[in-house]
Amino acid sequence: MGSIPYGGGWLTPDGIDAPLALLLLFPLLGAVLAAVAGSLFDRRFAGRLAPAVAVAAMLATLVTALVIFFGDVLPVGARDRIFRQALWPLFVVGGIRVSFGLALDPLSAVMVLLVTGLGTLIHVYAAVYMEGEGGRPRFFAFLNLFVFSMLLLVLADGFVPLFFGWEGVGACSYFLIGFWYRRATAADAATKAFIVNRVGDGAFLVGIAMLLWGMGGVQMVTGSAPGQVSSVLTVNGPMIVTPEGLQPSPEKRRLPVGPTLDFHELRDQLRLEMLPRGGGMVDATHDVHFRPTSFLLVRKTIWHLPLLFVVCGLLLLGAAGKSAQIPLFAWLPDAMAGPTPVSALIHAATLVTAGVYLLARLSFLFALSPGALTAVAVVGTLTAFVGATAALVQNDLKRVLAYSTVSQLGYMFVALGASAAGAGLFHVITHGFFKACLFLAAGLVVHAVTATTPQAAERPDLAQDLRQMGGLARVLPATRWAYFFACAALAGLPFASGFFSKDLILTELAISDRLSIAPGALLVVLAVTSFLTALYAFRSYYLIFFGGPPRHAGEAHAGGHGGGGRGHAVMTAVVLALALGAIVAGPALGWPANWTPGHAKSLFQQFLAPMFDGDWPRRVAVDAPPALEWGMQAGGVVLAVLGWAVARALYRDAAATAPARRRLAERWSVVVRLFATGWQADRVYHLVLIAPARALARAATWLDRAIVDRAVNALAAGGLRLGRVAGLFDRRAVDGVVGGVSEGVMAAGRRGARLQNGRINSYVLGIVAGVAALVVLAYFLGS
Amino acid sequence: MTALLAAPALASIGLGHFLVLSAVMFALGLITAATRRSAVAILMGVELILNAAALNFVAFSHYSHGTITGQVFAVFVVVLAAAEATVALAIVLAVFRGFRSVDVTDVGTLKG
Repeated sequence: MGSIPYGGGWLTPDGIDAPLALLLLFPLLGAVLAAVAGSLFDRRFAGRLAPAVAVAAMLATLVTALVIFFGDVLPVGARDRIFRQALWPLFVVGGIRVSFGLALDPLSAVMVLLVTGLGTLIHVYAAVYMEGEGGRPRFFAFLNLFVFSMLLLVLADGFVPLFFGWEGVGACSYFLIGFWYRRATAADAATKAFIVNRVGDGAFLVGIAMLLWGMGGVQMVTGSAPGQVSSVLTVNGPMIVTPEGLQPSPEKRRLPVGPTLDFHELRDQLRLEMLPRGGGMVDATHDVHFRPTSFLLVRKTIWHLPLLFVVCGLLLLGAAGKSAQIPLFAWLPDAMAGPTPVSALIHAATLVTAGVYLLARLSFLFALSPGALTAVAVVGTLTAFVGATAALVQNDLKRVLAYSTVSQLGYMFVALGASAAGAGLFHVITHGFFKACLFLAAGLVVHAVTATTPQAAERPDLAQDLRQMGGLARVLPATRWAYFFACAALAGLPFASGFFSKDLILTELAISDRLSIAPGALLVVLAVTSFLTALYAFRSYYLIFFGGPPRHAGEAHAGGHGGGGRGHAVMTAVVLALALGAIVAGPALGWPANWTPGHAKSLFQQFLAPMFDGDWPRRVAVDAPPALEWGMQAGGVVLAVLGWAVARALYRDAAATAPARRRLAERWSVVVRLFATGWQADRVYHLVLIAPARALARAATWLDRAIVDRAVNALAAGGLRLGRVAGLFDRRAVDGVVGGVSEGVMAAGRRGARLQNGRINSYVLGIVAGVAALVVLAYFLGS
Repeated sequence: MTALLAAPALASIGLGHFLVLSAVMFALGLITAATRRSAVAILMGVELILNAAALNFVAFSHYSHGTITGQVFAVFVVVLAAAEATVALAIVLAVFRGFRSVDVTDVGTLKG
């Protein structure tokens, strides 16, 4: 547990024991209780038991997370912030021992707080929102299970436990998106989300396997017993500054080396190996034959490509599946078929951040492959642009927000590609707040529209149609302001949280020197995307709350939907709290370096620094020059305000500008259709995945029918014929022999019995005959 | 006596004649034993067979010079035949008492 500042803390400390499993216990218990007790006693408590259990479980998780964070994590020195809890061993293969363990370091701490904080607010909102819906025990059980899976994912201390959580969130998202499983759209959307995720999961799994192969596979290193740590490397250190210069301290450190599936072990080994030689930092005096893992990993090639690039590419595809990046993004807009709190949970706190988290967790691995970093940045940039353009022309409010999420996740990937995982994580936080706020506000809007639109009962999609809205500012005044501030944060208006995180990402991209391509082109695309972001955000804002038919404050609650006044107040309070977070989180956590006197990094960056500082090879430009930061911030503000102004001009008075907009849309109808369909992603899937799969199925059917079936039938016919021949043989030959023998014996018996007739005369004759025969025999033989 | 023995008519009788007679007696005895149903008749057939054998002994003994083993054997055969007749006739008597018949075809109680 000692503090070991290895040359800037790039080796993981031993870790401190902490009851991390408690974080997982509460949501799991909540899920089970909500499902079992909620179903059993649903009627007695008027259906309030399951929501109450789920919310209580989330509150307990949140309190646990806060206690651990403030009581354990923060008091410890920045470099020692790693907490571990080993739960149980899973399996041993060759020299690899895989155990089910949890670890909490700054990166997972951030994610845990995000998931529990937003998760709790969303649970509270959902408890009210889902009143009057059937199947609530199921809903809240899966909601809790979703949070459990996500916490497992971020707390996992290795690839294997992470994969459990990874699959868990995938399964829970399937169940929750398809919550209204009687609606065909919901069931289809759930299936689509699941299948698209499977494509990514498959790539992820192959990536892990190839990573393991690259480390030398599971074969034992000479001299180690199965299941033992393959080898142990003793490292000199830590380096200490003395008057004579840098000197290694007498303290020794033992590190396991060899193939591993543990994040921290892998990171430490790579860092040791990648260290510049001759620094005197590493003195490899080892117990047994030591083959450096990373030596294999970094230099290995496969199919004439660097193995690391292939591995990182596959992991990127896996992350893209979860985080809705090109090419696997089209499931997210369809996932809007689930209830609104589910959308908020998926978009803000859980599922889609899993991919970002994975790449941040493995940033030390991606740092070794400039090609992979470039791929991440390019994918992020394109996704940001495609998502923003698609969000611009959607008529369904929730689809606007969904494409917005796709676009914002693209920004996070850009940050990861620019070797600035801290900036990406910061955007995860700010985006979590404003996107949760937008979704929950959209839920209130949908309720209000449902209450005032008679047809909405039959057509749930109508209640989400932006063209049906308008004028809701009078009905939902508080929601309107919350929505406005969340839009401001999304668009990146000054002092709203998105402003800080997005400009940080663009700045980091501008100074990134690890990419294979110049970041200029990406910057231009992202700048355009910033403008589009402001445009679509405020488009939805003006279309919802301004113009439209006159509405009255009382109307929204007339239907009694949403639990009347008190429930409405609770939901509005949640939305306002999230709006506050959307405004405050940015400046509180991410105050820009160029705004501080000492050019100090923001709180958030400092907190996460131990996670990413030691990534090697390092970026040359670690800090951005203040002038660049000022320029980026100014440019960001100009673009955001420009987008806002255009949106205001076009959509504030929607009725007046309708003819002009219609003419515009007609002239650019091809582009509009392209954007509206998410750049024809579904058609691409159809061409690339579904059509080949169907063709394969047809070919397989043909093969099955024409060849396999025929062969089987021929075999069967042959068997039948053989059977007939065998039967014949059996009956004629075998039975004949057996029967013949027995009949012969019987006949002989009958004949023989006739001899014993009891008449002496015949006996005498027999004797005479016998003697005569003997005599004749003797006569012939005797000579 | 000597003249009688030296008579040319007698001189032609040799071992062959005895053997033929013996064979005929044996055959007659055998046929009697095999065909007659009366137990007494069968016994008579057996006596014929025994005497045919005894005649063979005597004949061979006469024509093979210097030994009397055959003639001793013939005496034994006669004694044996007497003993056999005694026992067999006793059995026949017992059978007759039990079955009121000496027909061997009637005596089938032990036949399975």
